Amino acid sequence: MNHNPYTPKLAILLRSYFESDDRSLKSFCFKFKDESTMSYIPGQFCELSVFGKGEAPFGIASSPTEGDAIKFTVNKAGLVTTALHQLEIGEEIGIRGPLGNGYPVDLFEGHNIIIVGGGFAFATLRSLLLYALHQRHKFGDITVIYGAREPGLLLYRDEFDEWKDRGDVNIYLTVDREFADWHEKVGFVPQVVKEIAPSPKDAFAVVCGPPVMIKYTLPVLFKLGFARDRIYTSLEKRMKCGIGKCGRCNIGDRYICKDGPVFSLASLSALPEDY
Amino acid sequence: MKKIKKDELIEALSRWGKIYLREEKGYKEQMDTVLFMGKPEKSVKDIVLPPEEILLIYHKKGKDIEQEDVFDTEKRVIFGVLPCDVKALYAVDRNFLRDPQDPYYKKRRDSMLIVTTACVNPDEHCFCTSLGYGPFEKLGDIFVFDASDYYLAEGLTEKGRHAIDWKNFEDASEQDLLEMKKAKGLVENKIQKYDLQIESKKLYSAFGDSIWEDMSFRCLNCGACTFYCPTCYCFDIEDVERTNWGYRERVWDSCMFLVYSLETSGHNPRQNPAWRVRNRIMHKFAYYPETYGEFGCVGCGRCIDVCPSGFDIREAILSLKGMEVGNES
Repeated sequence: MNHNPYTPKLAILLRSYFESDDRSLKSFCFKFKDESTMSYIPGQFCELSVFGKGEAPFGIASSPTEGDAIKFTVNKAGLVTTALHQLEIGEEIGIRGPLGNGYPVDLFEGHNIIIVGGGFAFATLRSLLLYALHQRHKFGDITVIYGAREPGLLLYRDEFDEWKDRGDVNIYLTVDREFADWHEKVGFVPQVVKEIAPSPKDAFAVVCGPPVMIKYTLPVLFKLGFARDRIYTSLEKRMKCGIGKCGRCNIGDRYICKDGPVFSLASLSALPEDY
Repeated sequence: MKKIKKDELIEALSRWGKIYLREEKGYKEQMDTVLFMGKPEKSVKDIVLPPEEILLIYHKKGKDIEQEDVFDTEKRVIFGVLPCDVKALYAVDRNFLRDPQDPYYKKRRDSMLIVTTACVNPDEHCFCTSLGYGPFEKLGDIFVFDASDYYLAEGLTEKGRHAIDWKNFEDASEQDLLEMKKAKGLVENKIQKYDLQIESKKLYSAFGDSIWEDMSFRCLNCGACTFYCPTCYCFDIEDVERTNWGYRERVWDSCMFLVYSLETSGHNPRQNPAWRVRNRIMHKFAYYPETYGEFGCVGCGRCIDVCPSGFDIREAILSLKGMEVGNES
């Protein structure tokens, strides 16, 4: 019998820390109990099990270029996420994955990349960014536009400082309104994209965030001249089995968990608007 | 085909596995030779994909966790399965047996022998003949026809040909086969035919139309249609926690329910009841055919039998077929 795709692999919590001031966002680093490793590409996700509470899908926040620990950033919102937030170091959970397709990183090679993110959807974008920075010479210009409601809700703030210091990546951070001690951009992500106006030439745009951010960012990108097959996004749905069986994450005849979660806008426009 | 005394066939099959017979409520474990004449309330889905099944059991020992998978490999002979229910079983098979295979389903399915009987008592909600097959379709591992004191029987698959020792039984006579043919014609004529062959293209183009609102006006989103549907296989996975141990189970779910597609963030792509009805119809008649080349509906009529508000999927398809596309809502 082949490996049972429903059986989680046991993993141990190595460390966890809050990412946001309001303690709603927390990052977790795990390693597998049997010392094995997982190979994955940025944009893929895993089903995390807190035994007794259930399973839920999370995009992988670490990059495969970072070492063996696997990182997730989790917003405390429901049963499983609350249980994750309460985990103690050394406790065991189950991991199934990697699942889904991931970003087409090979296709991106040799091109400029514009990463547009909003809120805690930045997790898999972090993975993509680190992946690209690890082999910086393989990519053209890298631009990151990332926004959150307020400064305290921006993820990976220490790392953003490091990335800025590198000098080989353009980083624009923005928050919804003015805050004391905030010296970066102010305004919604679509406005900032419009202001920075990245060139579509030899470029791919990757857009992840809340539905409303995506909705208003896409027209800006179209206006700048980005073609639909040059814009990628990662969709969220209530995925459960993660292997295209349980039915709930369908868009038309496709399943987000299996055929996605990453789609180009060109491939999405061939599907019914059911997301 | 062979001609086999009823009790002898059941007796021979019982050596292969536990006998489940077609009864009024469904296919139930029982040794008997009398089959319920009509369509059972529930289909074979209830056996191969039970409403609740344990996938794994875990134990907590301090910070350590131990887990074991739970499989069901009991050998079962499902006897008297109607062709529509076999057709539906194949539809569910495609989902669970395609890569990556679902091992829980696969093991249970491999341990089943499907003995199909010709359907001789269709009711007013049946519409198999509108979907390109009929009540005497030779499907399953073994096909049988009820010829009063005898069964005319035939092994169709490798499994069916090896399930019993066929050479112990006499061949059916020309007369027997003629009787069966006559019955086939009679039964087929009893089933009303509708023009339900709809192209998925047509449904895709109707996606944004207001027709779904009108069609689903009477729908209560109770989900009965999906639970009784022999091809609906959607499920959820839930954990049950006890002290220091617990289990993970698979439970049926339904796209008719609001929470089915509700995300933790609060976003729900199918907030509107009409969109949920649209998903059910489009899955059967557009999405499933796009993936597998066959309709995801077998025309058993159970959704019509059980609907408390009289929703009729035949009418739904007919109205979609008849609509002029382009009237955006």
